[in-house]
Amino acid sequence: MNDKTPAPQVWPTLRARDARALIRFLVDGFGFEETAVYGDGDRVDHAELSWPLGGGIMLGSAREPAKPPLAPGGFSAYVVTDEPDALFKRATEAGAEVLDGLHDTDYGSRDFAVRDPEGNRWSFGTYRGAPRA
Amino acid sequence: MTGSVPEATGVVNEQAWRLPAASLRSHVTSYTGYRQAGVEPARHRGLPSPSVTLIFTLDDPLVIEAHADPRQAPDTYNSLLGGLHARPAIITHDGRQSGIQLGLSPFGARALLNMPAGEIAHIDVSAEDVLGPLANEIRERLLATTNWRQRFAILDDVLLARANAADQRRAVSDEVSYAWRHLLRTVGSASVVELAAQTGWSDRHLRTRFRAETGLAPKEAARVIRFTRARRELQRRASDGQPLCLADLAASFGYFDQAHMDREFGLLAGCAPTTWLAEEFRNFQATAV
Repeated sequence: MNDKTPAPQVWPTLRARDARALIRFLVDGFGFEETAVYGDGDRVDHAELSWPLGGGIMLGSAREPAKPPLAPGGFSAYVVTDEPDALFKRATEAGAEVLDGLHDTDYGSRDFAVRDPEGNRWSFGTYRGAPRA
Repeated sequence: MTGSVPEATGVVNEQAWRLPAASLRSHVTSYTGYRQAGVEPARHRGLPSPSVTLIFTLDDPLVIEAHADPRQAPDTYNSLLGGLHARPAIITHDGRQSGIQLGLSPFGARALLNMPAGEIAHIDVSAEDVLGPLANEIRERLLATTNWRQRFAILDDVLLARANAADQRRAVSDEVSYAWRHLLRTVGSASVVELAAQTGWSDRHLRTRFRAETGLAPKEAARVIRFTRARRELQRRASDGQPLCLADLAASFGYFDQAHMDREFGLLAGCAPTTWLAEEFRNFQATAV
């Protein structure tokens, strides 16, 4: 992220069965950076993780009973990386389950997809989205 | 989330953590808020780390049963400033404690406290002694809100104003800045000779200036940095329920062997790694070793 990167104004959000463990996994396995964590005991009320290239996610512990659209494990995101091979190695060594191994897409992106321990699907790739402005 | 007083039988165990405003991050490592009530009384080891400790308590004063420097008498504090140290302190509470802890870098000490961290080397003082009336003003503002996000925003405001007003001529020298940052980057593996060569100073001059600035000699700082990283990794393995693999941990942080790491824990934490884990994390299973 450089000085001109605007702060994110759209935040993907998810809920977790074990939010503290999921935060550790996303930090150690994928390289998210913890920015804020508010909680009580094992419960995380609100956490923000930033992605080094820009943007970030918000997450918290699942409320009981979890309502279907917010059920833990049902989240999916595509995240931009400049080093897909190194990240694939790091993520799988941390225990991410491989859904799609490293491959080159026909639009020139090098991608892979894994599941975190809660079941969420994370796709990573070098494609940065269509250019803006 | 609210910081309301619990019912008589309720247990409160709030934790709040966030990074400071981006422009403060070279001065302040993080804000950690905590409010516990109705929990078991506890003794906590205040371990050496590469940060000066600044604590503003909320509901109850901080009780230091034993300082890092044994010549300092036990005391209680509404707000505490603790210099870099190479021995553990012992902090106790009777089932209730609350406050916000900030870690300051040597750059933060200069900009926010207007003095080198070396002036409080190895000792704890009341923050009022250094910040004057500002210490109580900050504490009163923190107490006037019940919300952690607002408390952290207050700290950002106050500290940004102070950092902007700081005298740039009294900043940490380029040579000591380089040595400090290089030790952090290399997790304490750079030698004094190597640091001195890079700065163009003699070993002896670097050692003297580094200690006067930070409160620790370069070699001590290197030990504290390595220890801090090793114990965080130990803590991570324990919380993830992974095997601790102490021999492997020692090797990956550059300790000669596990016995050497144990000895460093003995000096810096006052106990063995597994004792520290067991004391700090009551739900930790010793079988994970």
